[in-house]
Amino acid sequence: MSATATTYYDRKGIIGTLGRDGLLQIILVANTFIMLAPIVIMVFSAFKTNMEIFQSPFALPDFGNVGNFVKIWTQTNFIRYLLNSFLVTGSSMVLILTLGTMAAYAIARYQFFGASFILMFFIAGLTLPLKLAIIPLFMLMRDIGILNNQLSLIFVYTAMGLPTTVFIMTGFIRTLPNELEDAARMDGASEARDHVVGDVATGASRHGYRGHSECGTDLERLFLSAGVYSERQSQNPAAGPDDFHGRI
Amino acid sequence: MPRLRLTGRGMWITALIVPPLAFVALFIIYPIISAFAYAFYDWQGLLRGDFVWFDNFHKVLFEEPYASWTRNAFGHNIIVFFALMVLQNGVGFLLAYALWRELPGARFHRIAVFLPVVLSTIIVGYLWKLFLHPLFGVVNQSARAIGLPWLAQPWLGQDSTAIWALIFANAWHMVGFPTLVFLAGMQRIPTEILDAVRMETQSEWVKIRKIVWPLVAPSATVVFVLLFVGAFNWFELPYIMAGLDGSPYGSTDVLGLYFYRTAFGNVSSGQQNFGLGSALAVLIFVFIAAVASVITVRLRAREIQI
Repeated sequence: MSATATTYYDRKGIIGTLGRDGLLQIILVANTFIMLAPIVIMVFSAFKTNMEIFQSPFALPDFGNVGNFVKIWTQTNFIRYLLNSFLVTGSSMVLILTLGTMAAYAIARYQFFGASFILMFFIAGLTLPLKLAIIPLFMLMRDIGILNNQLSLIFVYTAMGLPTTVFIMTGFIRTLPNELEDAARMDGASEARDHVVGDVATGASRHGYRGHSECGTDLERLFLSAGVYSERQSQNPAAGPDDFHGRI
Repeated sequence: MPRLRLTGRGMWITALIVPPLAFVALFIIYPIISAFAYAFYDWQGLLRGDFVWFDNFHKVLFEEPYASWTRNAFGHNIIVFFALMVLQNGVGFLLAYALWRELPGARFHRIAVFLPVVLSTIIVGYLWKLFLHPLFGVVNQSARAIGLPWLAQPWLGQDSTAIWALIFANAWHMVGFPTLVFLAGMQRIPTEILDAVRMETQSEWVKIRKIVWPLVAPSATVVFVLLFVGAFNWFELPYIMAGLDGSPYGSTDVLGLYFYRTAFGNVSSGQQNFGLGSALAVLIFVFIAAVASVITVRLRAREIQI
């Protein structure tokens, strides 16, 4: 009785699994193709002249043809853009991750007066239409004296990145088992000194970080375009695509 | 929540909370509030005029031609939200589920799904604008090449298809984000629960509906709320691909573009009206904040602590 049941169970399981996994695999492959094809074509186009792009967009280019890159290197201030980009994105990311995790940890782990209000405050920051703030922001930067300085961008990006970070990290830290921290406390860890926060929480929430540190960079780049309005002199990388428009 | 035995607990929490709060308050809240104050003044270009109470709000909501522009843009935002809910979050969930099963090549697929997310919106916008070019674009060329000439449309040039082209480009760009968030949520489901389910039922559907979906609720909350906020703040992609006027004929006009046009003027008319623009921004903000809070509270209520 039990033997037949097992056989039946196994057989159905195998067929079912194969069919289902086959379908899922097809979906994945199709999706990967849709995701990668445009990027591959973009890379190919980088080695082509405009003529070639229009005539044969799919053809393999002559990878020795680096005319476009030379042009960017010599005719624009590319290295400057790149370094600015690294500086601004790097520093704001460090600030966002540090400050964001601090706030998220406090909100998710401690019950204190106003915790949910503070979370709401951050979420409100997420919904604000920042485009409107450009003019007051410009005046603020002028008053602090960091106009035309990368610091102004770093501060704004940090402030912009924080709401998303706090929102996501709070969710992640909430789902982490409390037992991990209890165990650490048991072993004599005090809150700050022995890195309950540092080791346990961040260690286990690496998933959270991976997810949003990458999307964080994107959010930054995205607003760089708006930054150009007020901060043209700081020469930011998003000005790049703008300058290169029509010259892909 | 564990009981905390901590000296200076309040100090510790304050030290954690205050620096991030200060950043947000100084560089987002303060400029926004001063900008919101502009909504109550009558502006002559960049000159601030009289305090006019709610005149600007009334104009934007009830007086033509602004009222119909507002309705038009708002309607498009709603379409964008629901379309992206399916195309971005729905597909994202499906992909996450497929990736979660660790089929051969899952690692590679995971990288591929997430690759477009790291591209900047500007690049994605220009890329798809070129691809969708009616004559030379890759999309139409390949449609003709594989014998589906009806697929070769001026996607961005027709008012019936333009917004869908933008929605597609946005979904292509961002689908990796919900996928990754859902995947992380699924990977946190304890194996014991999954083993227990395997004992109970063979049906994959039951497993998804009764176990996976409820247990990834925190991830769902995050991506739903972010999508809602993103859809109603949609600006960069339509700005790059359709221009400030939401061309053709305002068929891709969304609140973000409409607000920007009203506040800062556009190429064809240099008219700036900070008052109306600020009023619009206030309305957009109030709407997003109210609905997002309701969604957050409702979705949080169905989350389960494992």
